[in-house]
Amino acid sequence: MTMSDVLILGGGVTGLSTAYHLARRGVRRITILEKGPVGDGSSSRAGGIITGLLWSEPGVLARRRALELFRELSDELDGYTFGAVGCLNLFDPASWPDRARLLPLYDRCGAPYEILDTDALRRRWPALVFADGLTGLHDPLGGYSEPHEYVPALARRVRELGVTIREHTTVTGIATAGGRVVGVQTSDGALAADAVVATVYGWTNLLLAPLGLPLPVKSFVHQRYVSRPLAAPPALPAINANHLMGYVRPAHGGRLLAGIESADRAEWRVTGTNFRLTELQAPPGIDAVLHDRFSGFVPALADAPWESAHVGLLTFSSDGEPVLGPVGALPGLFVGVAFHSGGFAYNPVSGMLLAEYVSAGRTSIDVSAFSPDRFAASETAQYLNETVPQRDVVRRRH
Amino acid sequence: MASLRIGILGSGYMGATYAECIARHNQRATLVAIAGGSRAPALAATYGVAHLDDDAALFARDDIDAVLIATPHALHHDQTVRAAAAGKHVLLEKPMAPSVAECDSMIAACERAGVTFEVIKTLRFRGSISRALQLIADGAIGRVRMINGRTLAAGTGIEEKHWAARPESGGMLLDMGCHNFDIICAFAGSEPRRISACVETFAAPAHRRLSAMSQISFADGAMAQMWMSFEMPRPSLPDHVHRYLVVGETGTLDIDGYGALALGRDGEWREIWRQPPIDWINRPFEPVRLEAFFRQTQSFIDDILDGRPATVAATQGRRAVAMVEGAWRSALTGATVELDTI
Repeated sequence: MTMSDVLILGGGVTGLSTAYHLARRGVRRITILEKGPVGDGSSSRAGGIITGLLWSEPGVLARRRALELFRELSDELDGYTFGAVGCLNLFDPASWPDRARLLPLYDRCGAPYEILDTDALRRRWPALVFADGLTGLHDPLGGYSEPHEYVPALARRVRELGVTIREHTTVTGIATAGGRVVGVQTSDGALAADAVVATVYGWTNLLLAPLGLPLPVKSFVHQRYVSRPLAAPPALPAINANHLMGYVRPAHGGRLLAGIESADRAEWRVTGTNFRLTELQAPPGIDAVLHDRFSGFVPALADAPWESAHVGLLTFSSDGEPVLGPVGALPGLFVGVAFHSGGFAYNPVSGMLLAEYVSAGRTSIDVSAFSPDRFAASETAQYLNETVPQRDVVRRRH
Repeated sequence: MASLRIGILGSGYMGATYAECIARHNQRATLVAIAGGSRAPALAATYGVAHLDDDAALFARDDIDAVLIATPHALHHDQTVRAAAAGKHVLLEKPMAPSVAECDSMIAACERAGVTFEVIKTLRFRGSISRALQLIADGAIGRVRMINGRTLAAGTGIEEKHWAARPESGGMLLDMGCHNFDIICAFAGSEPRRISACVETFAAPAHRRLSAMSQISFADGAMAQMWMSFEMPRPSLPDHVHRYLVVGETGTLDIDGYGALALGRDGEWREIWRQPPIDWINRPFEPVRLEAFFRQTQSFIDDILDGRPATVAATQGRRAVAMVEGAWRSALTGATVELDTI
């Protein structure tokens, strides 16, 4: 039986990043198992927007590091450049007070921001149409990545660092003995390891529930679209347009990328390891709704119909915060999941934190609040038994 | 309490060893019952004590004050926590547990229950090592500065299908390394602060962590190296199954754990003691082998009956597991590990 020091389940950005940081820390025998090709899941379908202005201290501190890491990777990875255009978070009068309460947190954590009223927004970005009463929370360090550049570049680098990536290998179960993880079962047979890191997003509970360790994590369908190239692409930051239930950002080749939630749609239950995101479909007509709604905000979009669509999953935990760290009840098992809609935004640092947990047993940023052990079993069971529409999950965008 | 009433959990080679100690050699102790493992009924019959179906039955007995746990490593945590909850004192075979997290949980459970919890470290009680520890305590070599230890063998002697060879048992780095690290700390007489190590399994894929080289620094400035390998080409090295050099300010001890103990001081080497041969297979219950085991079980019994502090406290079992975990983490990344972070 092949022996790895660390087996990483899932070749998405979180798994790739975990492998990258483990290899950079000197770990030699690392294997990534991916059911399809690398980046086949939500990673290649992500919006790719990142902001450091989140909702909790560990989140803000982790994202600050992620923003640094995206810039470092921009220098290191061939074919990837961080889109350092800033990130604008927009709020209507009803939602702004909740966000304003977080400003002391940003001050305390050293996360820079600017607050812009409607007039200031209009002066700064004349190509956009801001409704009366909007408040902008601008993150000057934010921006975006193009998943189709980032994912293959990171995978190439991870391979250069000596990591084995086994594609088209489906993990069917986590192997335990004597109350600890000893490896996994796969479509190609059993594999042994000292540590197993599950970064399998919507598939997480398929692996954890059989161990009696389900997490209160649910998946929701999300769709994002890329326009045809614009004749005159406007200068704009990455924008979380909370009042429009979506986001928009510049995209490669003078295009725009925008995404929207389908608030009425119930959660998506991933029922088998063979499920593929290509089975997902966007609600009929939502592409037109998105185009209409965002053409009012970004008028240049009006003449550029959608060129491509991607439908993927977002995972949310019951309290809205990520689930990252060792699973106390099963030594050797580590989990990274439920990065709300910011799995891509988190990935450089979520991988770093998982690598630190695996190799050193502790992290350089205190993310104990993300512990998988924070949920009571009864609450998890209750949460998993409910069917939740997307509008009822914690509102978090990137 | 005139006599400590003991139940044994586990009926393998070590379970049988401790049953022999408690039933036939220890003072102020009574063997009451044995549970666990396929050989438990026969073992209980040998000593004319009760055979119980499982650990729960043992913990439920009112006529048992203390349990000696000699089961596979991966069971230690669960069984210790449950024994403590049942109000039993615990003497636990090494290694204390496969992870420090489990050690912490076990210590907390025993503190909550107010029971004595000691960990078996028989090498401290064996011939030349125990005499070397006494010499160090008596100041024969002054303060200890440097230690070099070697455990070198041509194989583990463990069959591939045995539980000790399975991955959840932590490999030989845990199985033997916890002994080595404990002895090094006992020689140093100081707390270990940092460890860096290489750990490899060069050949046999069924067994794990068979070879390790570790370097350790201590709070008082002492330093140690430990070389462990069960992958030596035959015939390995003579007298290096368990050998240490301990260098102090004024003298040196050359300690063969199963052979001679020599003291180099005042310009000359002197043989202090020599271990009579042990026949592990054919005569395992001869006093020459059993001595170390019944000395430790007697210490445990006396600690409880006389209200003394623990002879080998659980925190020292934890320390050895932390060094194993530190060595492994260091080997993963090549970084030096600060042991107070584990």
